[in-house]
Amino acid sequence: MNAIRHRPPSGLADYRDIVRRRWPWVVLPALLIAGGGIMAIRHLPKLYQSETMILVEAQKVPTSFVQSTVNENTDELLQEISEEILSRTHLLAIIHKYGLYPKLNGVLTERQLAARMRQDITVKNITDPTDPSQAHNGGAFQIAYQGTTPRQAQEVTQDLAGLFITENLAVRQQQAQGTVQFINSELQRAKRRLQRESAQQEALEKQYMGALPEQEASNLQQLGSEQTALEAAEQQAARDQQQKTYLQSLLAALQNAPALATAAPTSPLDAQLQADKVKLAMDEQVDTPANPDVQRLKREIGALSKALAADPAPKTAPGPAGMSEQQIRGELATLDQDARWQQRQQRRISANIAQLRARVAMAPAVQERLAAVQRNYKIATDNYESLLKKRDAAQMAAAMEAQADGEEFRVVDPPSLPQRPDKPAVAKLSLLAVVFGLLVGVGLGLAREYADPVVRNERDVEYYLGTTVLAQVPLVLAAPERRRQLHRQMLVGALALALVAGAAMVAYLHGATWLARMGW
Amino acid sequence: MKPEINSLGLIPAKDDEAPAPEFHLAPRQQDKLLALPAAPGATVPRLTAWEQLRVLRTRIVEAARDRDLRRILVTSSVVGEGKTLLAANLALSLSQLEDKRVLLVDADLRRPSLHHVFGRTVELGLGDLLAGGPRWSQAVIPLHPRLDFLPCRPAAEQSVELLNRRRMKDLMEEAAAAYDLVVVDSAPLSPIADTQVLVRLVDAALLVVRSGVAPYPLARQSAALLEPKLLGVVLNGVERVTRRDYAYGYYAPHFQEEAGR
Ligand SMILES: Nc1ncnc2c1ncn2[C@@H]1O[C@H](COP(=O)(O)OP(=O)(O)OP(=O)(O)O)[C@@H](O)[C@H]1O
Ligand SMILES: [Mg+2]
Repeated sequence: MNAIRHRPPSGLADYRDIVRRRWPWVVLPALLIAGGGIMAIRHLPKLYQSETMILVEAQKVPTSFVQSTVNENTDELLQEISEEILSRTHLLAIIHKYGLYPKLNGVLTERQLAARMRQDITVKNITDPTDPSQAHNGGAFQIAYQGTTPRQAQEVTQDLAGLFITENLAVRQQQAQGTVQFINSELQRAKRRLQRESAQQEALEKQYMGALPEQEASNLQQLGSEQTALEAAEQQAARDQQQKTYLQSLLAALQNAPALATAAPTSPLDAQLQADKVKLAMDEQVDTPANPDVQRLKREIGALSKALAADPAPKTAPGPAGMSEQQIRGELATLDQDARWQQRQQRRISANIAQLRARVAMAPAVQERLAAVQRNYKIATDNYESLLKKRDAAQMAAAMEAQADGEEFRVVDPPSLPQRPDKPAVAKLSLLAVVFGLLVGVGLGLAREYADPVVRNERDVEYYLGTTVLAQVPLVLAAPERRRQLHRQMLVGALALALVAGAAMVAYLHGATWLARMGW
Repeated sequence: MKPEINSLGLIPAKDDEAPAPEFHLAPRQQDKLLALPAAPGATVPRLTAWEQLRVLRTRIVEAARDRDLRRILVTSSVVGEGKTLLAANLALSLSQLEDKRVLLVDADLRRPSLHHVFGRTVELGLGDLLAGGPRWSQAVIPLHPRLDFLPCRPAAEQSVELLNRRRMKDLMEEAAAAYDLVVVDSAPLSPIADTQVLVRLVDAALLVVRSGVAPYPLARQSAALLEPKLLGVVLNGVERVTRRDYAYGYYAPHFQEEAGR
């Protein structure tokens, strides 16, 4: 036979019957749970919350003078300071100072204890730009602590607020100092770079000395004068060659007609004088009159002229040109000597010209390289200088923070002394317990109802059996049975009562500790 | 006659009803005879039970008017649903009608208990008759002028086998001939086959269903087993009587109150 489904309740009568039958299943668990729950809630440790409002005051020195180097975002600042303050050391100090959490002291480790206290502390950014009292400041925040007595909550909140204020200063000074240190280290780096760049520039200048762009003009000028000198030397050489040819022809003629060959100097003095004059003429073409050689030659010439004037006597018979052969030979020797010298001089000038030409040709490339190096050098200098400025600003900001003239925390609302406990929310939790108890009860009642597949009334008969009910005989109990039934009901009631009382008792004695262990 | 009953608006005694028979029983047993008028100060359930037995009697009499319906089996799905109590009281109620001679048979060979209701001891019972004892009229106990009672003792032999004997069939036919109505108490249908044998020997069957006791899968099964002969269900032990089909122009008194002490 296939399973028959339980007849779903239809109509008020069915529900009423179910309630009549199952009310103990609903009421007893509901009573137990709600009663026990409420008892436990009532005996939960009461928690009082004290709150304080702290204003983040703007720095005292106008920002147009000193720009703070500390984080300006209230949220981030709070975060940073909170981390510091809610550290284990700080919290444990407060725990020991006020003997907080005495029940947990031996049970939990220090870390857990600090974590436990952290749960009771709230730090909330309550910055409200529309609040006129905050308008010119950096915002506001609230610190709250939940303690077991109003005074304790107030004192702990007070301590926390104090910590926040001092810690803010410390953090700010630290941050400002840190900024200065950072900029300093950057400055060191910039300096090293500057030195490197300058050394590079110097090396380059040394390497291309003479070919430097600023030397180009003088190079060109020098090149011109060297070229003139070369031309002059070449002309002189040509003239000398002419003279030489002339003298050689003279010499040849003299040898053919020895009488004519008296072109030689009439006296040794005269010969000397002539040679010197020639030399001077040559020298004057090459060197300036201030040249010591020229000077010396001029003096020599002068002396020789005087000596000749004083003693013109010893005159040999002059040659056809008035020169002796000896004189011509001497002249030729001098000319050869001069030609050699001239050659050397020309080579020197040519080399000079080559070098100058090379330098002039090189100039654009050198200029380019130099420009690059100079650019780097300029960048390094600028960087260094800007860092220098920044360091000054940072040092000033650090000095401001050191004097506690930066943004400051000020207590606006001192820690409150709570009048009534904030936790537990007895009414809310109790309601929850009742609702939960009822739900459990209804659940149990329904479960019980559906776990009982029996026929109960006329409708059931029609539903399950499809038959009519001819008559319904009620349960007729004799007097003693009725009494027994009454006793049974009383017993159930008493048992239920005892159960509730027992549960309440247990909750009263242990509930608080249990809940505390569970982290309430 | 019974002013406290009339005042509650219950059915007044019919003209054809004989005066209530006197049974000299202990008070506890007297309490079970719900078909007898209630004593003064009776509880509402007691009064309602009396009234409902009358409703049942009326319905059976009406059904018997249309067809030949003499032998009525009273059975149930499981033990303890109140077959015995109902059979006794139905017989008692029917026998109170002037024109009805009623035989009450205890056919529960395993746990016969009808005699306890009337405070009788049994020397000779149905089991003995079936096992081949004397004539059945010898075993019959007259309870009052229109009500005879054929009791039973726990049978030594296999009860199904006994009930299956030709003698049982004969007995039932003879009883139907001798009486206007035969009410047969029986064993429950569920664990044993006894009653299924009996069903074949009767004209109609009443299924007693005890409220809050009878599991509906079994009750359904029982109804199916009895089907062509099933007259209807008697709901027993209800906490409150639902008045839908048989509103007699009055409303049920509230149950929970006592009728007064
Ligand atoms: N409506 C009723 N009010 C009070 N008690 C009742 C009612 N119906 C039955 N009882 C009691 O329940 C018990 C069982 O009843 P009864 O013996 O009639 O059931 P049964 O179906 O014959 O049981 P069994 O299957 O054992 O023969 C008895 O004590 C009887 O008095
Ligand atoms: Mg019985």
